Amino acid sequence: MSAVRSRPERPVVVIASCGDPAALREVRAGLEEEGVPAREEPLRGGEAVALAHEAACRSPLDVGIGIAADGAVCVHHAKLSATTPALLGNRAAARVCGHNAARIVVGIPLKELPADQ
Amino acid sequence: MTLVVGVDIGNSTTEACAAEITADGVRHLGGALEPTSGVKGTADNAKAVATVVSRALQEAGRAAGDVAAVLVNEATPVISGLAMETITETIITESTMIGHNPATPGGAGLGVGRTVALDELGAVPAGDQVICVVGGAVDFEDAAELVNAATRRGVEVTGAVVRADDATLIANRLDRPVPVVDEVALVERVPLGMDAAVEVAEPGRTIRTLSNSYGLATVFDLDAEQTRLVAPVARALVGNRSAVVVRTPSGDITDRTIPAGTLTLVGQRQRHEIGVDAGADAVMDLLRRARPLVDVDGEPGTNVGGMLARVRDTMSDLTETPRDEVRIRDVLAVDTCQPQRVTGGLAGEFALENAVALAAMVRTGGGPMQLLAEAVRDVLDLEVVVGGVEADMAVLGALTTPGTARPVAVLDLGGGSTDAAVADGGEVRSVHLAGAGDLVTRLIGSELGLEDRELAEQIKKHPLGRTESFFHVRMEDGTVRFFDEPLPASAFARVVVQAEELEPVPTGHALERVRAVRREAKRRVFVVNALRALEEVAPGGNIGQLDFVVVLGGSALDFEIPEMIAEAAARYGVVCGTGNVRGCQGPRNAVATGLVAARAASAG
Repeated sequence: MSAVRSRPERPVVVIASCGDPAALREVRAGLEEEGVPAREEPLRGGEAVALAHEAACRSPLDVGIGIAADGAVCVHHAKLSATTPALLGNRAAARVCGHNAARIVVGIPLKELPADQ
Repeated sequence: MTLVVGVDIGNSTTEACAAEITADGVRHLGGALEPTSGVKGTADNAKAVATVVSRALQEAGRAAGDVAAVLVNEATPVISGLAMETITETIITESTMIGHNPATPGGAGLGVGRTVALDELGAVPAGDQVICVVGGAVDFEDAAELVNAATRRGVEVTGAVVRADDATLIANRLDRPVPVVDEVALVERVPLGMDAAVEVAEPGRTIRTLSNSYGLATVFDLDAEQTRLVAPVARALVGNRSAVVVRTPSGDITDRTIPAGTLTLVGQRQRHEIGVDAGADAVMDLLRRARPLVDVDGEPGTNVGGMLARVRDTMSDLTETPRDEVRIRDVLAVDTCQPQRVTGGLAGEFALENAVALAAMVRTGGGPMQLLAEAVRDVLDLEVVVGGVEADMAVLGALTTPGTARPVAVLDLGGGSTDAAVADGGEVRSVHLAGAGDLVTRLIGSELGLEDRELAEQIKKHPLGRTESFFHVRMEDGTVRFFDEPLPASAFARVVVQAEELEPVPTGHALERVRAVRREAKRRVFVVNALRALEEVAPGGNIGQLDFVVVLGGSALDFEIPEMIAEAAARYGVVCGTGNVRGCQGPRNAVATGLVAARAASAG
């Protein structure tokens, strides 16, 4: 039966980023610190929540991160409804969003977002 | 045919029972329950009494005008107090140790060397062994690059201590990976130019060298005398996944015992004095020898002394008795522990310090019952009859539980006190002991380090669970509950209390730990007090002489306390269970029901 099945996809968190390389770097750093692998997908347009949901749907781990051009960062889970993301923050929260996306995968309590979110 | 309402004023709740007394017996019509207003046995209670009476009548479908009498128990004011004394203290002098558990330390292994700030690495001669200290504003890539540059020059960087949550990021970028400990909040206070050791264990393991006295001796080349001095450091680091120890000339960590003052137990024949820091077992042992207890006093200026004085003052105000005539009738001491921030710690470390919790209670011969009766009469405009000793009424009410018979013992588990009464022939013996539901809440709160008393109360009352995804919670017994609406991110992967709403417990404690704390607090207060109380009222102090024990009171509604007590009582061959007053009220309404029964008996 394995002959007909394609090779299983590597488990990763999917990141969809529109610009803002600084936020992307922070998000990746958060994921790396927690030891969870991630992959970028070239999704375009729209705001952070929609990007994050699309990314989550493409992630084998059901977790996606969207980064909008204005620096807004969103963490989403494929099992949540498209308009109610797990977390939403601004540029300053990018690192914590990376951490928390990883923690949702790992199943440990999330970090608090910076106070001014 | 007479319509009466029995009212029981308890420490925390006021209960009513409306009934019709006919020639054939008693017909119960309705009941109500309300939090007691004011201290039990004072005129302030009238408000709650009025509320429960009208609610009970409403349920019965009767008008107030039909009521022949409102029966109120002889409520004696009981005041209880709680205090806690911490008796040990951990102090780190000169910042010698960082013993916290960051979620993600970097690298693995043991590194030993001299502490050097990151921006001074360039000045370190080749061949030196150093531990790099990275401050707050440094980016992980810059930090890794500077360390790599030093390594290329021949400096042996053997470990790093970092302010931010960057350990894995830095370790991943090093040419030669070393152990990195991060999230050290006060990294600027790490002494520089000193010998230090950094240890990080592989995931799933704990450190081996720095948590071992001889490991420290080997690393720092200590002699026997010095090893004895650093032993507390090793002990404080046991169970951690990562640690840093800096060897400063006079730095030290000490466990100190704080003098917690003395407690004086006045028996009928003798006065006994004991230091609270001797621990709960010693205090309770002495209490047993001092019985029958006449009074208790605490050293002024200590928490316990202050609490006892407060209890005395409150009672003296309430009953208008001189302060020195108020007697503390019972105390319960319980050993506990309290997480306290370690003095001198650099990473916000907590140490579990030993503490003794003390509950005390005072009770008077008689409260201003006539004042209370008048107040109720004024509000309700009904005939109010004060009568019936509370313990007698509780026994009468308990006997309406199916399957009970005299001689029966009643165990009333309340908020402030644990009471017991035995009806042996015509005579009723009763006892009131300090320590009940409020003490359990206090113990749970302090042992878990919760600021929020309400949360401790919820943990006491409800089973725990752990959120495993956005849509399901695994309960403490392993069963799973699914939710239609996603759970909030703040509850994700946390221990939660299954109250009306899921409430996350905002501490790092594992579910097993929270559960153990909850059950142990209940056991140390209620099981201990239940046996203590039954021993006092049982014939000849022998619990085995009792046939039936009926558990009553608010805490008897708890989901695990009654079975804990039943288990403990089973050893004495006693039938013990939660009461079911009138076959339908559960452990509630016993005294109110007893008042009606007593009235019916005297009328018949």
